[in-house]
Amino acid sequence: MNLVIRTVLVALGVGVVAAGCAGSQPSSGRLEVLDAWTRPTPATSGEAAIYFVVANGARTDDRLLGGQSASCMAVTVHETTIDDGISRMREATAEALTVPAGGRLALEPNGLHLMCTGLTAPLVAGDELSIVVGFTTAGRLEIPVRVEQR
Amino acid sequence: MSDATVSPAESERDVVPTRAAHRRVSRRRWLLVPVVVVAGVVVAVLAQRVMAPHLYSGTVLQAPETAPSTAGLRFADGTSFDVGASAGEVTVLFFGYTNCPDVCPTTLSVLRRAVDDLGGRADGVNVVFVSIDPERDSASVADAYAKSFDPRFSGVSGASEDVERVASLYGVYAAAGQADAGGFYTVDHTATLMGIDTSGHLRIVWPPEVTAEQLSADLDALLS
Repeated sequence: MNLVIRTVLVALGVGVVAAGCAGSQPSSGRLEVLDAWTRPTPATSGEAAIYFVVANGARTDDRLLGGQSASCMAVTVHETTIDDGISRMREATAEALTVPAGGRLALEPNGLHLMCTGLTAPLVAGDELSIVVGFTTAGRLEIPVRVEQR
Repeated sequence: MSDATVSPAESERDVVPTRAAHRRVSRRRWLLVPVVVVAGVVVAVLAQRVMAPHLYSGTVLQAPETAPSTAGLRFADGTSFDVGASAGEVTVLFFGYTNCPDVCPTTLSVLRRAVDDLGGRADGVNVVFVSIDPERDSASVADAYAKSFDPRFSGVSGASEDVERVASLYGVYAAAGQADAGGFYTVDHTATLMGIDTSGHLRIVWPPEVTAEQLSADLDALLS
């Protein structure tokens, strides 16, 4: 094969791989909410903690404000802290909810989570519920939340 | 007699096979060296694993004492939960509440995976969820909650004074927060896991962040 063609093909290949690797950094140009999930709830409990990852591909910092759902009476952003074995849950501070431009914010077990109270019905594995998550710049995003046993 | 002298070609043929044979034997002997070394290393590692004590992920209590009494706590069927009556089994206690959205489901899910990983040996493990929120959690509610994570788990509760006494005996802190407009409140509480061994001694405490793999390995060691 012609050396020039070979070089071009190699360069293309490298470019594709590099683009693939760059996919791990939020680069879509906008903020996205990924992998939203929650656990099944026992019949007696009216609360659920919702977890997800916010990937901010935009050029400006953003902040998670809160959420709303037809499945919950109220949704608040909470943070769990565990100190010396004692677990506490408090409303998350604004600082804790910042999503830097090009960065991520993870809501995960034993950390930040959206707390849904007054569930209209118990959540069963395999179900999906819908929530609207609000951000100062990105606005309101409607996202599906999968109910999974994790 | 034929000519006693050996032609150079013939003498070469006599010498070369001997040298080749010598090289073959030497090569085989050389092969023995790495084989012996590898075998030695394998035996040493296995011996160390068999003879070395298990390194627990949880905090092992220096002077294990008989697990404090759980008198006053009851199962869903009304029978008393007496931790002293579980001799022969390993008991894991977890103090929490059913309206807990994050830490309790997370920890009970880890416990479920850890017990699953034990396979057949899981029969020797008794997981008991103790509610530190008796206002909202009756024994039936606590038990249904525990069983929603694994049907082998049990939940217990009792009168407020009994729950408070047992919690304090186990060094468990619990404080209810302010109720919101809907009457919902969270409870700050000690979320560690307590391990009681087969002789009924409070032996080990795991942090809430313990992983299923660590827990499973520790439980396996306690069962041995």
